[in-house]
Amino acid sequence: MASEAVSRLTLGLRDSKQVLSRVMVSWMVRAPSLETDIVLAALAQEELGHAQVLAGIYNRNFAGNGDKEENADRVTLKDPVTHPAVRPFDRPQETWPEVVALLCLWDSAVTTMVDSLRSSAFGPLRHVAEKMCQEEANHWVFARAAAADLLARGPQVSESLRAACKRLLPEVDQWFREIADIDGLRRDGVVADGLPLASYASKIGPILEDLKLAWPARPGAPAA
Amino acid sequence: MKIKAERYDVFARKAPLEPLQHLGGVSATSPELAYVYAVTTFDEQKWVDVAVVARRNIFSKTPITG
Repeated sequence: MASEAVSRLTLGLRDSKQVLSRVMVSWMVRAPSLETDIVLAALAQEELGHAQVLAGIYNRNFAGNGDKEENADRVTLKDPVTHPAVRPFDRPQETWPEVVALLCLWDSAVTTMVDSLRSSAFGPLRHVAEKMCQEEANHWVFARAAAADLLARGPQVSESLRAACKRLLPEVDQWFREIADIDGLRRDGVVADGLPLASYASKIGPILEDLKLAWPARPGAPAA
Repeated sequence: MKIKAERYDVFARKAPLEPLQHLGGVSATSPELAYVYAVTTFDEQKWVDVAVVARRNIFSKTPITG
C-alpha cells in the first residue's frame, strides 16, 4: 500500500473538514434563521470532531514519531490548512447561497470520499468511516432542503445559488483530482471500487439538474 | 418571492416500540428542513426515532397553540 497516498488523503480529509467547520462557524450567527444557526453549530461540531480524529490518525501513522508531542510533523486543529486540494476552499463565503452551494457540492464530496473508505484496506480510516458517515447523514438532508428552499424563493435567489454552484463545480472537480492518487488507492484497496466519483455524480445529479448545470467535462469524469 | 415557514410538531422516542414523546415545535419551509432543525435542536438525548408533523395536518376540535 502506498503510504504516501494514504497520508495525503488523510491530511486532505482533515483539512477539508477543518475548512468546512470554519465556514459553518462563521455563518452560525448570521444564517437566515435561528434554527439554521443551530443546525450549522451542530454540523460544525461534527466536522471539527472528524478533523480531530483524522489528525490523530495522521499523527499516529504518518508523522514520524507518532503521538509524541515534540514531533514537528504532527498536525493539530490550530494548524493552517496546507493541502493543495483544500486551499481554494479556505476563503470567506459572502452569501447564504454560497454556503448552501458549498454544503451541496463540497461537503457531499468529502462525505462521499469518507464513504468510499468503509471497507478500506487501511484499518485506521476504515474504523472511523462508518461512524463519520452516520453522523453526516443529516448534512445531506439539510443541504438538499436548504437548496430547495432557495430555489423556491424566486428567480433572483435561484440564480445566486446557480452561480455559486457553477463557480464551485470546477473546484470540486479539482479537489477530487488533487486530494490523492485515487486510482492508486483504489488498486491498493484503500478506496472502494466504483467510488467515489460515480457515487458522487449520482448523488448531486438531481441538484445539478434542478440548477441546469453539468459536471465539468474531463476524461473519466462522472456524467452528471 | 417570500415563502412561508410553517409550524411543525416534533416527536421522538428513546427506544424502539416506546411511545413517541412530543418534544416541541420548529418553524420551517419544508418537512426536510423541519426534520434537521428538530434533530439538531432537540439533541439532549440519543433518540432512535425523530419525526416531524406539520401542524396543519393535525386534526383537532380545538385550536392547537404554542
